[in-house]
Order: sequence, then C-alpha cells, then structure tokens
Amino acid sequence: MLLREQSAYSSGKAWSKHGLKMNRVVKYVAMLAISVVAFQCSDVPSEDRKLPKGYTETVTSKSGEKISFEMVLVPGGTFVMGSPKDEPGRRDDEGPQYKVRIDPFYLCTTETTIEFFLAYYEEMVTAKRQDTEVEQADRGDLDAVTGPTPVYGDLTMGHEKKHPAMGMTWYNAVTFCEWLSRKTGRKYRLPTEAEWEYACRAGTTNIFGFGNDPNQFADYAWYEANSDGEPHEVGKKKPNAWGLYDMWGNVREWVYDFYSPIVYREAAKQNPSVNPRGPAGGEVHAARGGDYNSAIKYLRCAARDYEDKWWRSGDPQMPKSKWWLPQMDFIGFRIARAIDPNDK
Amino acid sequence: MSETTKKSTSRREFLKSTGRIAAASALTAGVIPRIYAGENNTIKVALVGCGGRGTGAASEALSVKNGPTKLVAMADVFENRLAGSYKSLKESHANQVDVPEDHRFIGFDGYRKAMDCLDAGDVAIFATPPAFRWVHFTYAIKKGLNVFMEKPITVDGPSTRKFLKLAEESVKKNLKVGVGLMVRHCRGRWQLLDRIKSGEIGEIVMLRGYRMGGQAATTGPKPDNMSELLYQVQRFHSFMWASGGMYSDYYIHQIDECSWMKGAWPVEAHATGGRHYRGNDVDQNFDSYAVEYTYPDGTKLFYYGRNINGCQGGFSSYAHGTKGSAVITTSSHTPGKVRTYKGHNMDKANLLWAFPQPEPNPYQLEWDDLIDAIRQNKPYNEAKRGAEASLVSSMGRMAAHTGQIITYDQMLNCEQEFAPDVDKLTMDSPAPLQAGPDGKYPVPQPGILKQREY
Repeated sequence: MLLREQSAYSSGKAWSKHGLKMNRVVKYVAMLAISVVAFQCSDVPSEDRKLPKGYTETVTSKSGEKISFEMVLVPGGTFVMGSPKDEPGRRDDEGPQYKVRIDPFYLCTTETTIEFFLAYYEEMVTAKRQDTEVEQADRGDLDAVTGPTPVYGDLTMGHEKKHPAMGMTWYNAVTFCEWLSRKTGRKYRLPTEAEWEYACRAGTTNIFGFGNDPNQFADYAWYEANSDGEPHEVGKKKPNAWGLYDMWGNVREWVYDFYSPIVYREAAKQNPSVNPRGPAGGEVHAARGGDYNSAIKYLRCAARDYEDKWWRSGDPQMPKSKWWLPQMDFIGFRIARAIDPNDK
Repeated sequence: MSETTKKSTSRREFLKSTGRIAAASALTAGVIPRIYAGENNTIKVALVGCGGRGTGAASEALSVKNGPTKLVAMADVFENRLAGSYKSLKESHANQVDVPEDHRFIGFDGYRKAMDCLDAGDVAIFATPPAFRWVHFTYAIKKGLNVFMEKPITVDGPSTRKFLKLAEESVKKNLKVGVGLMVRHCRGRWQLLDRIKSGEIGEIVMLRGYRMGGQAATTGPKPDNMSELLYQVQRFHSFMWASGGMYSDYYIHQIDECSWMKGAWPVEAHATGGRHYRGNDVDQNFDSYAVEYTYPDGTKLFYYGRNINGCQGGFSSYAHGTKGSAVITTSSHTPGKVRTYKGHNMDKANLLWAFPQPEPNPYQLEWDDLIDAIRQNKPYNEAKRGAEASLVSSMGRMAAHTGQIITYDQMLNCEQEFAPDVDKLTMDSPAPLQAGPDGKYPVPQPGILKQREY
C-alpha cells in the first residue's frame, strides 16, 4: 500500500483522497510513510531545467464564460520549515524546525475565486435532491460521486465573483482540482503544507516573508485590523517576492496534508526532508495563512492551523456534509501543480 | 403578533432574571410539572423522523449542558435512514444513546410506539416531513410529552386550523414546545430587536428578504423499486402535501424573522412566480417567486426566492426604518452578523452597531432554551407562533401559485387540504398526490386555478 501511494505521488496522479481511505485502513503507517517518502528525490535536479516562469490558463465554464488564472513557477530549493522557539506568537506544533527540500512547482497567484469555483460547481453538482448524500451513503457508493451535492443556501455567501471561494470541505477542494485537471489536461492539486510555507517565505528567513515588521501588514493582507470582518476580492494587496497574493489573511487555504501536531518531529529525522507531504492518515487537514479575522500571530509564515470541530457547526444535518462547511466564509484554497516531465 | 413578541421578550427577561421566582409566579395551571431533581433527573428523548435534520436535532438534544438527556426510541418509515441515524448518534454520543432494537420502529405508526417509550414530561422530536406534524402532536399532547418539532409545522389552511387548536391544548397542559425556527433563539437577533424597538433605525417602513441559489428541491421520476408514497415522503420538498413545497420549507425562516422584527404578521400577500428548465423533473415547485407581503400598518416585506443555477445568489434579509437600516441576516441563518446603519447605504461609514463575532450557534441554543424551560418549568410554547409562521408562508406561496391576492383570513379558511387523511397512511396506502394521465404530477396554474394551488 505504501508503494502504491508512492507511485501515485511520483506520477502526480491522485494527489487524491486516498489518504482518507488510508486513514481508515492503515493508520499505523503514518510515521513510516514520512520516512519513505523522504527519499523521493528526482535524479535530475529540476532546477536545472528551463521552465516557464509562469503561465496563464483559461477555462470555459458551462455557460461559456472564460475564466483565467495565473500560475507562477516556484523555484526549487531548500528552506527551514517551522519557527524558532523564541519567535513571538509561536506554537509548539511549529517545531522543531527542520530542513526541507522542495522541487519546483507551480502555484496560483491568487486564492481560487468564487467565479472559478462556481464554474466547477455548476458543471459538477451531482443532483438536485437535498438528501443526495444520505442516499448515496445508503447505497454505499459515496466514493463514486464525482461532484458536490447542492450547497445549502447561496454558495457566494453574498460576495462578488472575484472574492475567494469559501466554505468548501477539503474533499470538495480536492475534487475541484481533479475536475480542473480533467478539463485542462494538466494535473492540478493542493500544495503540500511544506510547499505552502516555502512559497509564503519566498526565499526569506524572516517572520512574515516580507520582513519582521507587522505594521507592514496593511499593505499585504486583509486581516483583523483592516478587513471590516469580511473577506475581500483577491489580489488587491501587494504580492510577496514570488508574486503570490493574499498568502496571509483573507481566507485560510487548505493544503494537501493531514494535520498532526507532531509531524515535524518525525520529519526532522531526515536532513533534508524532501517534498514531505505529512502523515499518511489523520482526522483533519491543515489549512494555512490565517484569514480576514486573524491577529498578526496567525499570519506568520510558520503558523499552522487545521479544521476545527466548529467549522461544521453551520451544518444542522447529521452526518455532516462531505462537501460543505456552511457559512464558514474564512476557509478557501489555492491550487498548485507539479512540474510535468513534458514541461519545457 | 404583538403577543408573540411579548412572549419572546418575556422569555428573554426570564433569562436575565434569576429565574426561579419569576418562573414560579408564571406557572400555569395544568399538568403538574415533573420534578427533575434527585437521582432520576434524566430527560428521555424519542426521535421521530431520522433524516439528516432529525439526527442533527437529536445530537443537539444530547449536547445540552443543563442536565442529563438520553435517546431511548427512534421511528422512521425508512429502515436504512433509521439505521444510519442510530449509527451516527451512537458514534457521537455513545453513553446517551440507549435504543435497543425493540425501540426502533419502522412504519407510519412508529411515532406512537416511539412516544410510548417516554413518560410524561420527556421530549419527542418531530423531524418527519411537516405533513405529519399535527398527527404526531395530537398523540404527544395525549401522552403529556414535551416536543421539539422542525419547521414548517403546517402546510395549508386546514392543517393550520387543526394545529392552532392543538397549540391551545398544549398550552393548557403546560407542555413545553419548541419549533425549529432557531433564529428566534439567536442572541444577536434578540439584541437587534431591542435596538429596533428602542428606535435606533426609526419606524420600520420596509423589509426585504432574498433566498436565491442554484437549483434545489426538484426531483426526477419515481424509481421502480420504491412505492409512490415512500417516494413522495422521501422527496418531500418536491410535493406540496408533504412539506408545503420549497417555498414553505425554505422561505419560512426569513418571513418569520422579518415579521418578528416588524412586530406583526402580514395580513395579505401579492406574488408572482414561475417554472423554467424543468427537464425530467416532476416536482410541484416554481423555481422563482417574488412576493409582496403587507403588514397591518400598510408597510411591506418584499421577498425574493429563486433556485436557478447561474443567477445572482443571495440569502439575506434587511429592515429599513425612517432613520436607518438593519441587517437581519447576512448570509444563511447563522452567524447572523446582525448590524444597524444610519441611513440606507449599508457601508462602514454609516455603521451604528454590530453584534460581536463569533456568535453562539442557535441550533444548540434552541435546545438549551427548551431543556432549561422544562427543568425550570418556565412557560415555553412556540406551537402557535410556529403555526402562524407556517400560515403566512403558505399565504405567499398560494398567492404566487394562484396569481391572486391572498389575505391571512383567506389562507386560514382556505378549504384545500393537500392530504386530509395523512393520519391514516400505511406502507400500502396510495400516495396522497396522484399523477395525471400523462404521468406528470399536477402543478400550480396561476390565473386558471384561483382557489386551489393545483
């Protein structure tokens, strides 16, 4: 099973929900997996290849609208993940710091927008019935579903189309990536937690990625002090050094990894840890970057967060929806893409 | 409605005061309250209707912090639903779920058997399609049970008339009855109501509500492996008899909250609506509704509902006064994020007040409040108010479906009863709604059918 997971990882295929199943089946491999995955370096350093610095992808929605998004090349490299013990606002799960090597990959310059997510939703919404999920579960074929059930209420939560999409489960975000991959022929996925932090730091070693002065946040982020208690249109603040907008605040961003408070301790046994992707199983996934309501300490590059129980509290049904976190307007995601061997 | 408002206010005052003295003086005659003290102070709960919402409500019943509760019986017409619900609840509340197999009842008469597992003063949860509320409530009153029931609680004129009588009886018996209009338990809305009453935005001259999203509550043809009756019960949002349709089921919350803020029920409704993009769908709903409700003082609530993919979304409600405006709902029901503004441009510069975030979850609060009322024996009965909210929802729906102006009295005295024999249904009964010769179910025909919705 480890091998299968590994090969899926190498081929870029199914950065999928397998972990969820793994979770049920083989929780005990979690720690092993970290050490094995760590050997997964490519023979030819990808940095040496000449890759486009970025590209714009355009997709056409079911109703004919063209939606474009920009991907930037995040150069490969090595960085120190986590925070030092004396960093103000630090929590224990950010340590110990450890060295990580990241292969180059593409990351979207912005959080996924409402219009983009709506294009997926309107194409993929599976059925009209509200009780679809229960019926699917009754038949035992929930996994066969390829698209979300109808959202309760209004998917936009009253926001405009260039606002970040919000209130989807991790599973829904991953399904979006699968949909986008089929649509474009390129394999999109969520960034790993390490990739996310690496991209947020953008080659720096300071606390926030643009420096250590929190007073500068007004230029870079929608957060507690300036958001008026709501998310804002993406890409309106300054980007970081690698051209990435809203890495701090606005909406938290789902990453690929399951959350574990002790995962760094395991990963630190490698030096460096190469392209780590977290535990093989777990209960909830990590989400990074803080949101429009976050205080400064949650906007640090190293700050970690994860799905908390109350994120499901807007859902009056039980079992809770596999697809939606109703009214949770602080959680979204940003898409990534591995370098394809055929990329030039 | 002023009565309703008073009731809410007084409940709020109860909570503010130390409770016991006020509660004792307000004790109504009737059933002697059970004493929840000493060793046997567990409130037993029976779940009737084990779908997603019923299971969620049961979970909230088992999550109250004001004394022990235990689930002891379950009923549904679908065996798999009951089994799934039992499994979920057992996983999340293992020690509070004590429902042996002979306390799990399948069938249209399961509600009786489930309630027979309770004693007077325990709580029955009604989360079946609304058509069955009056049937189940009748039995609960007979047994002296407290009730939590999901909204809506009536679907047409005749079922509302029945319900209003039952509501009176339940008050006489001092039963505590919660109705799942949970926004009424939102602490932010309580404060907003106080502010509106104190004149912060002046006199309310207009209200607006929106419930607009993608396609919903439609249904395709009946699968072969299922009876027509069970099919209609399962897809209850699609059939007027079962739920009052999407209009009643979806819009009731905001019609209720706007009327609460206004301090009155609307006296008439004038509405339009229609159906588009139907494909194979056979449900009875329109997919867009626009309703003008009129209050006794002539002011209006404009309510807009639409369920069409690709159109502008919205799930909010607002009050406009002579001095300012208020957000009653920002998006969906919770968090309400209620606030008030100077004038009618709701931007930051004009903000007067906003309820601090995060706010407590009203789905839990409605249970905390109900259990508190039971334990402290406080007056607590939302049945009448719930029936009235259901009735004015039906009034707007009927106005759209017939193309006529419908008044409150016309709706209340309307003779069309969608499913008069709903209390006699068995697994073998024909479905209350029958398809026409073309295999399609009857739908509203505004301007042609003026006295009936189909």
